[in-house]
Amino acid sequence: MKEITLAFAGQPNSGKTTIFNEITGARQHVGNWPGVTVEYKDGYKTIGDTTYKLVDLPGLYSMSANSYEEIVSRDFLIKEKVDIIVNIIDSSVLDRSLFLTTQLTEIGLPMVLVFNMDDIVQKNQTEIDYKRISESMNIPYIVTQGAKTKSWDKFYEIINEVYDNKEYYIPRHISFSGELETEITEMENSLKVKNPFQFTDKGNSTDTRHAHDIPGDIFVSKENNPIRLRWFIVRGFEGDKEAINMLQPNLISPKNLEAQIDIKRGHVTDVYGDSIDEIVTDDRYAFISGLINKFVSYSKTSNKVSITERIDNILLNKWLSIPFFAAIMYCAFYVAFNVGDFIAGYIDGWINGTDDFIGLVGYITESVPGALGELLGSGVVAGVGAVIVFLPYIACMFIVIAILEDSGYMARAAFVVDRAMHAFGLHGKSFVAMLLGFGCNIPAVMATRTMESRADRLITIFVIPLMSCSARLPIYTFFVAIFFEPKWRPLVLMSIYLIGILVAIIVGKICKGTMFDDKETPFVMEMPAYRWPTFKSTIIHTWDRTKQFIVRAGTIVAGCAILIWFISVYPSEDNSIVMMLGHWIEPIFKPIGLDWMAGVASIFGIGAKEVVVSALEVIAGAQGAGDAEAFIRSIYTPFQSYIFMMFCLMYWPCFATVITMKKEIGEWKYFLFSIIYPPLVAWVLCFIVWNIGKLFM
Amino acid sequence: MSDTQKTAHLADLKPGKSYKVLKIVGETNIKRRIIEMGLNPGTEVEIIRKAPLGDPIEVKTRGFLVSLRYNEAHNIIVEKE
Repeated sequence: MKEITLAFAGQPNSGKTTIFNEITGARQHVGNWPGVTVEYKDGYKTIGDTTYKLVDLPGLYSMSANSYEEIVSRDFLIKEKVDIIVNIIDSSVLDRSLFLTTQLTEIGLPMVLVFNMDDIVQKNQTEIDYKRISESMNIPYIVTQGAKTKSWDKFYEIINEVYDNKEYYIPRHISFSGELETEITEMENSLKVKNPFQFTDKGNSTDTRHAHDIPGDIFVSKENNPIRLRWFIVRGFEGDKEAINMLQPNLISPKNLEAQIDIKRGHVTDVYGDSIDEIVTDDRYAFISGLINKFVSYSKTSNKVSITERIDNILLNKWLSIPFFAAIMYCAFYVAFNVGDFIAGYIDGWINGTDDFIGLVGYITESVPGALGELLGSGVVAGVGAVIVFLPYIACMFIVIAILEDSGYMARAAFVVDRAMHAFGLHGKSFVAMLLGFGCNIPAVMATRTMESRADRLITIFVIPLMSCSARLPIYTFFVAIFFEPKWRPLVLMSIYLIGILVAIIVGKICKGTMFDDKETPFVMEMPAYRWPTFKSTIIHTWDRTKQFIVRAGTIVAGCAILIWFISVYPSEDNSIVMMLGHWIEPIFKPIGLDWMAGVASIFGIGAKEVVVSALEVIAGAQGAGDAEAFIRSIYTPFQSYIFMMFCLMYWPCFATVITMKKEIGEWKYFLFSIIYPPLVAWVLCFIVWNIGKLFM
Repeated sequence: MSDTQKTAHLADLKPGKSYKVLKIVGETNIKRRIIEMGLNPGTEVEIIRKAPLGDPIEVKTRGFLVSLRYNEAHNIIVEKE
């Protein structure tokens, strides 16, 4: 049994994920890279006695290590065991795609090129000599048509060939112009590597597979992969300090490579008057232009972009773009909420027995004797059930996101609203995530994954809990029905939602200005060609994300549910820990015009927001001898109920959201901020409104 | 750089025409990103449209579409005619 590790690298929209899904099917695992929130995917495929481990690196335009995605990809390729880099290329934008390829060839790991999107190339009547392009870099290749690719046999054939004969398939790197190349070569020769490694020339000069200039290259023998010495040096020249730090322990001399490289960088910059970045990118593009001129012939018209452009002429028309945007968003979420609502109704009925279905909670509580039955029924089943009820909403929303994303409209949506969102320190893509938040905060937080900039992404996650999710609606409707006349109800409701949005805007603006040193992150965003989302990829996308949610609901949320159940019935139900806690925290609620009952209900609400209502009903029922609503009406004023609604809007995201936020944010300091600021903001705002309002009431 | 009459910031130009990129200026991070997306000096770039609120702008280069914010497009110096 042998295992071959394949790292899938490619630019965004190159069809990389489609190919990954085609090959691995449902057998994949999604997680985050350690420490950061960049999605990590691996999958397995076994043929005969060989297991292929496929690792899907994040989509990258380049390997310059500017972004988190680029850094994790670099670290993976250099530090982890990788046998072959599989570089997926969008052949319909060949020149830009090959930019990444020129960077990957420098690493020195064996590569395979997958020229994808050949169907579009053919439709455009472009002729590409794939063979000669690949040969010029000494990399074997296959040509594919995304999901329409009929057979992957050739792919495995090539992978096996490369794996068994690695020394023949070391890619050829490009040479830079004059002075820079001289400096790089000089440095390469002057460094003393601890365990240098060279691929030996086997002397078989008739073997056509052999690239004769490769054996001279020095490789740094790392535990896992031999990495070309030149790669570290080029990275160093490009200003990647981390690459130099990785090399330093492998050197006998010099002891301070970083300082040496700085001097050389200065020298090269002086000679050219340009920054090294510019020289390097120019040379890469010059090499690519050379290949294109020799091996590609374009037909006069490019069909692919023209269809996309024609659609854009309508969807992004100056006057129609905003109405279209509003209509598409409305339809998407109308479908997601309503289908979700319909299914959730059934599940809710099944768990709680409010419909004709079996009340699972009651059934378990009665049939299992003693406290264990209580624990299982009221604690676990009811707790997890509260979360599972969201499952249909969440799954439906994931389907909607997958379709928006895969069709190419997401980028357009971001384009249309970016100006407005930018004014609040947010990104065009924040809008869609925030909109989702009105349904459920969990998929909204997860939807921020499509955002490239970490700062934009974190700020969006921070403000999502301020989007009033559907679980908060029962709280509002409960109070509005008790305290406000029918004609005022819609206005009251709307004002609560608006307060959330307003606070989100202010929080976003403040975060952008203070936490992330206001350095603009580039918005440079590709507008991918429109495509029909495939059924398979939509389902895989949705399943991946829904599965993650279920796993969380099944573990941590269940634990929390048990805890909340426990503190609410011990030592006794009318003198439980929660009640004591409620009285204990009453001083916090007094200044904002609320009492201990509101405090207790809020604590319950942390488990799931709609529980606030049922908790309040139970407590008030006990206090008010049965008629909870009458009792609530008698002790609160409409103004107090409004304050409590405001408080519920902001004070704390539910547990499932908090856990999702930790997963997606990663770093503790940002996570702690994200859960500490909401109660503070909620309290301060309620305090202000209550004390000002009191003067007029 | 040559005569200011002959060069312009991409951000200041109207949609519907093609220009040749001369130079990218500004902060390294953004400059690098723009170049890596294929907008390196020498490339032809066509402004397709502006977003309804005037920013960002959509451009076409090397056969694909990219959107840029005004600030980024301002860093791209192009040749007029």
